[in-house]
Amino acid sequence: MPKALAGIRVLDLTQYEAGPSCTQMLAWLGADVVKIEPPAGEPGRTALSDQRGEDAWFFLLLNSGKKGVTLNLKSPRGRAMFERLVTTADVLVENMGPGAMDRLGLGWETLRRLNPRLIAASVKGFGGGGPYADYKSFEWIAQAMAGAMSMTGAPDGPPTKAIGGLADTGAGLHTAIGILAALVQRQATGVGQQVEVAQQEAVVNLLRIHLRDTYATGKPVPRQGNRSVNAAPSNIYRCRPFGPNDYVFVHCATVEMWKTLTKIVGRPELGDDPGYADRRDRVKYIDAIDDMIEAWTEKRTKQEALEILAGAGVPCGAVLDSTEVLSDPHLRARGMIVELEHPRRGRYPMPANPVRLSDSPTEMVRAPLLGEHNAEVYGALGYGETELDALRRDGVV
Amino acid sequence: MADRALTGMRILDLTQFEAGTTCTQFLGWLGADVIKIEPPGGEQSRRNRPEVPGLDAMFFLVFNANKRSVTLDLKHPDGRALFLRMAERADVVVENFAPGLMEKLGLDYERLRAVNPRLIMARIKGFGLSGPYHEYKSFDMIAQATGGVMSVTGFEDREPVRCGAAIGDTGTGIHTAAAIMAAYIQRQRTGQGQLVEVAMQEVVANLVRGRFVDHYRDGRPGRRRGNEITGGVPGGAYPCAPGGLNDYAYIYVQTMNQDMWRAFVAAIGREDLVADPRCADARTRWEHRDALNDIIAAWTRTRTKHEVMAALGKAGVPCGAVLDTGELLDDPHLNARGQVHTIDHATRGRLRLPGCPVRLSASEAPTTPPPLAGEHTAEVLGEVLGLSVRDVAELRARGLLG
Repeated sequence: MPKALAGIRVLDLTQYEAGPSCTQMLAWLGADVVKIEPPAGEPGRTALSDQRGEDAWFFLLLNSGKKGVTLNLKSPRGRAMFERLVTTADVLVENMGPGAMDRLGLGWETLRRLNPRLIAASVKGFGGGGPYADYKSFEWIAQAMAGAMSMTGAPDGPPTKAIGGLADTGAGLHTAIGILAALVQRQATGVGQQVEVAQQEAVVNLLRIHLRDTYATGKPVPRQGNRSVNAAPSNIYRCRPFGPNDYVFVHCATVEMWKTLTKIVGRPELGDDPGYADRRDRVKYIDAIDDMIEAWTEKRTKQEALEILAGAGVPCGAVLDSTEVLSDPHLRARGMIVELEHPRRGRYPMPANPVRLSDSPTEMVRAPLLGEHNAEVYGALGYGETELDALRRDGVV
Repeated sequence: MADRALTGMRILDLTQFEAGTTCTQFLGWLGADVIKIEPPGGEQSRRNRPEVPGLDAMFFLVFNANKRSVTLDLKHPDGRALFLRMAERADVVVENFAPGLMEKLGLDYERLRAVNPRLIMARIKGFGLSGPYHEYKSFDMIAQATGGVMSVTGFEDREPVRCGAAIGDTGTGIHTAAAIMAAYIQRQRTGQGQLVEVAMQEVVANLVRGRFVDHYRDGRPGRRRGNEITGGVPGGAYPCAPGGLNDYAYIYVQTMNQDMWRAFVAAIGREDLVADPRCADARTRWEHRDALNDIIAAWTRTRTKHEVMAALGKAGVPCGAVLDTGELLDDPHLNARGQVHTIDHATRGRLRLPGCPVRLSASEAPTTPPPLAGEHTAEVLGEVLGLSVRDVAELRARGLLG
């Protein structure tokens, strides 16, 4: 099967989410990703598991399509093997704590000497060169420091974290972009370079739209819950049977959408009223409009409301919970949710690659077991079985 | 500027609003020649709630740096013919029109491939080009609802909440940028272009996949948990002085890291807690979370969020001040790193914009001012199609260029 990144080898020193999401995307696009873990496994595999000794679901969600090898980078022999791997690689990705690569003796100058074509990518919380460079970070810290938390939540509530991996997977994808651009540039220049992404900056990029209000007013963007100051209706509405996620989101941007909506909910006269034609003007009547729509949605399930409204051209989304996403008929029909088989965990539904290339189909392959590809990867470097046995005994792999 | 990662990549940018424009702006930062093709009068988002009537809206300005602008009427058959001639000489076309519009214009992938087999066409849709929802319209919040993020954001006793950051829109733009570059790399081997497709619902599901763990563990949907991290004390947003809407600091001590806990109590001057039996380990701290969180909040309340962050950050404890959008542009770290770029815009004057969030050591990413509508029409038509000033004037007189 043709693959966009066929022939590109990625050495993956990543852990948890910000790094693994980057290398998983590169694997989906066809790169040969070799995940190098300490002999006990990376913490995302072990510490986050719901069952001692089993690979965490978290790990399975973020490490598909990779080969797994173990290596003790702190032992001299492990270090030598790593250096040999570097000479075979195109890309190295890491998201260790600030300064950890230097402490391992694997700073950029060393890597570049080993392989001038290498692209070395780092995902950091705040990135080097500013006052927060040494501060630790993780998802919620970066959301706080990038403004995302300040604008999420109810107007009468505290700042609220958004439970998407904005800072983790978000930074991982930004890093994938940097790596791909560096690969393109290398085809012209023949040399690699460093790629750096800070989580704080990746999240700023994801919310730059909201800065416009700050430019206009000089004031921070307020929390608005699910409503918008610029449009009505734009909110969630309760549906049957009134469970915690039985809601639909409805947003009318154009007058045509508004007209269609008013016909569906039985108030066509409001669709023809010029005072209601502009979504901004409708904000004046926001409470009455929200009540009108909810009176209609409350008689229906979110799936029924979705089919009727979205089917008629009114932007509408059912608020799907994680279980519903994994069984959503649309995502299933498109192959975005696939069933994978894991030797220890059995069958499980896995969100696939949201990026589709017509000539580089994504093959979904489950995450590797710890050290599953040691023999294959080290064998290709020339290590025989007996040698590997000795390395295993000595705790190098 | 010769030495940039994507120097030589020419992009015809048919995008509007956010999901598409963020993709092409990113490729522009990385060095691609992005030619934004707009209808006469300009792309709609130039007029999306303009702060100053008649001037380009900030909405447009934050997403359209590092591009050139050409106006061209694609509804006119001759306008489409001109577009196809440009497509012959381009590497990439990106669009995020409503479902079916490119087909209606006769500019679907088959047509574009016929004029240029090397062309990469990227299509961004709310729900994709196939499947039961493919004709449904979408916006950022629709993608957030159907991608699962809204169901887990907010407090348990309250309704689902939209995530403030535009992960459905800009999130989709960055996924698309990655796909385009992968296709470009593949083309260097195969000589052939291809079709790239990205759906906003799927992008959100990809961004939130790490939160699907609850489903796998017990077959139930993930719950809303507000700001709390189950098992983490401290773990959440703690109130700071002077008590304003965004005066909070997010603090988290990793549950399995007892050294981090000791560093934390030292930083807040409560070493006595080390010997406190309630603090023996993460489990006992969680059992006594209400009392301990009160102790922590008593310390944070007497300090500003910046003081809290400086004290804990230096002690190696993950902590982030909850910055609002105004504080963001003034943030000393972002400014020290050169992440806030100042540009001179033709009609709006000096503006500060967040720059490229990805740093390549061998490819600088300056931010150039977003173009006025049609600012580069004559320049681009001359450069790409070899049209003379007179040719362009003639097209303009016929109304094709607005």
